[in-house]
Amino acid sequence: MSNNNLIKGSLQTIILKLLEENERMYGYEITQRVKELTAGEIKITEGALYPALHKLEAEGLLSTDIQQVDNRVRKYYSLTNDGQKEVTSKMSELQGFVENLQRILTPDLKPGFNI
Amino acid sequence: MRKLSSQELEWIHTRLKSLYIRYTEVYEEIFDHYCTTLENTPAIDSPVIIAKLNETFAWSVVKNMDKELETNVSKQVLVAQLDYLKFWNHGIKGLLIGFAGFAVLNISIFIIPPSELIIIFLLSIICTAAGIFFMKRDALSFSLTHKSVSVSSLTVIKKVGILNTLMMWIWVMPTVLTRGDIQSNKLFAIGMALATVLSIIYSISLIVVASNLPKKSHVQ
Repeated sequence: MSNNNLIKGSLQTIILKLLEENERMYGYEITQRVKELTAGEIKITEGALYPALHKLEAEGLLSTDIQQVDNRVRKYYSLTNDGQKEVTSKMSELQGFVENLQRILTPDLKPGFNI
Repeated sequence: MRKLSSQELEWIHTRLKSLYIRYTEVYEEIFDHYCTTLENTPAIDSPVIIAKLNETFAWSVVKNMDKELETNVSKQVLVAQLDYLKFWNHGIKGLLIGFAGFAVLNISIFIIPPSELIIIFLLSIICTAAGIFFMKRDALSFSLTHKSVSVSSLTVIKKVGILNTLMMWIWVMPTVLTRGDIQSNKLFAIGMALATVLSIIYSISLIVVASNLPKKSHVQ
């Protein structure tokens, strides 16, 4: 299932979660990690990824550091303290949403079902 | 992971230059993306991979990235300015500066005549503009060919431009049009004194934010 509209709404959560697990990452690395984790089922478009990273940085959730790699510049992103807090809240928000979605799609499912 | 050939690097630069990317930050990030992608694929596949990347980073995508970055950096600069202006968060030194600012405001309103306030205002404009242009030269390009510039520097310079134009219209223009007569109006004088002090405080916060911005890292 590779639906861009479904991914769009959770892109920020995906980025924050990956950075929580990986300390610091750069754009290409994020796209590859998502591809790897989903066995190529989900592909993050670069046109959506970079603006999302810049937005999270402007909101103070991500910090950046620039490193020189083979005569070029690489921008690494990592979570700030506010970003760390945001991961927890975004994750529970998303989990709650998926749980409710499950209830709608499969009404027989028992309340309190956790994904 | 392999090393890219000079021809591959040339292909990437040619493509990116054809997109007229406005900001260095966007150029560098896309350039790194192209390079890393190619480094992780066999050299024989290069033309196909580059063609795919060209589709990914199409004109509209890149223009959107430029625009989004500009909006986000403008927001960041404003937040940094507001943080700086919260003098109560800077300890005793901040409080002293805050009180000094208040004193300057009162002196401006009650002691300095409007005709001299204009000189102070113009001097503050010139000093701020000169200071920021000197610190943020990487936002300017006088080259006839397109060259990417730093988004943060350009944002700061734009803010100076907006402030000065605004002040010029609300103060200098009425003074010039009435040949100075309006300065005898007490309300106008108080308003202008307030505007001058606020513009000076705003300029100081901009200079501080500009001096804390990261230096230009690389220009293609």
